[in-house]
Amino acid sequence: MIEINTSLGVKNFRPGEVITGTLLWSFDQAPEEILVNLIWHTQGRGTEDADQVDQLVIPQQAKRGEANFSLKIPTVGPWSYSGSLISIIWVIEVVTSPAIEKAELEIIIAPEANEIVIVQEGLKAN
Amino acid sequence: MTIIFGLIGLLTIYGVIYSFLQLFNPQLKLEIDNHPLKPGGEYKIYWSLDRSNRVIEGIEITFQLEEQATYRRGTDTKTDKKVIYQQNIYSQLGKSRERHGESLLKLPANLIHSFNAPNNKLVYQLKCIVQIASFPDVQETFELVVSPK
Repeated sequence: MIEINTSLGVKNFRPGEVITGTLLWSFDQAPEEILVNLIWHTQGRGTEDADQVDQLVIPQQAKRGEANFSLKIPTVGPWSYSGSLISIIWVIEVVTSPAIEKAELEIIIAPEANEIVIVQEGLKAN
Repeated sequence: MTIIFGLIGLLTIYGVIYSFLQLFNPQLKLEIDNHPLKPGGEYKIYWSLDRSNRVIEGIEITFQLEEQATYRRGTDTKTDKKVIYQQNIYSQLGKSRERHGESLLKLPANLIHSFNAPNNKLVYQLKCIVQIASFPDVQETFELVVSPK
């Protein structure tokens, strides 16, 4: 079990901010390390594109534990976006090494801290 | 069978003549007073036509955002495209001998930035159509970049 909690439960962020929070875990076997990744990936019609923009490595031997994390948001995008063929999704991903378990928490990153949605009726596909 | 080959021949001749006439079309130039663009920004667009004094029957310049998603299906690679935002920034209907003009492009503040990943792209374009009397239309598309704030 991995639980990802951001400070004050905040899930909407702006460019350049730092995401802080706490991890709780409980495994049957102890991992060598826990990796906390800040990642964006695309979703939709096209083959997925993705990039990892920050990573925190927590050296760990305990089966159960708790740790704080902080991740730096870039200032250059891409921002959370929901379109017609393409969406851009940001997640905090936690994985163990060796692979035991994985967890994700979806967050929003954009200048106004809200997902950018473009809706214009009456336009048709090419 | 003879009729089919005759039709194909006529279409080929039409295509050759059409392509030949396009060589004498006026050349469209677009200029913008700042680039890359930013959401919420205002920009002046200047257009001009040269190489011809033919009568223009209409000009339309549109700013648009196109999503481009590339994926594999079997052994083929396909790209689907969809225009999801359009803003008409210049429209002139009716005959004219104007050879230049300008217009204002106002970007909404909540616009997404350009995005260029290997399989997924958000592409901003200025699409221009110039209708010319008795000649093929001039159709040009210019790519613009909208940067993150």
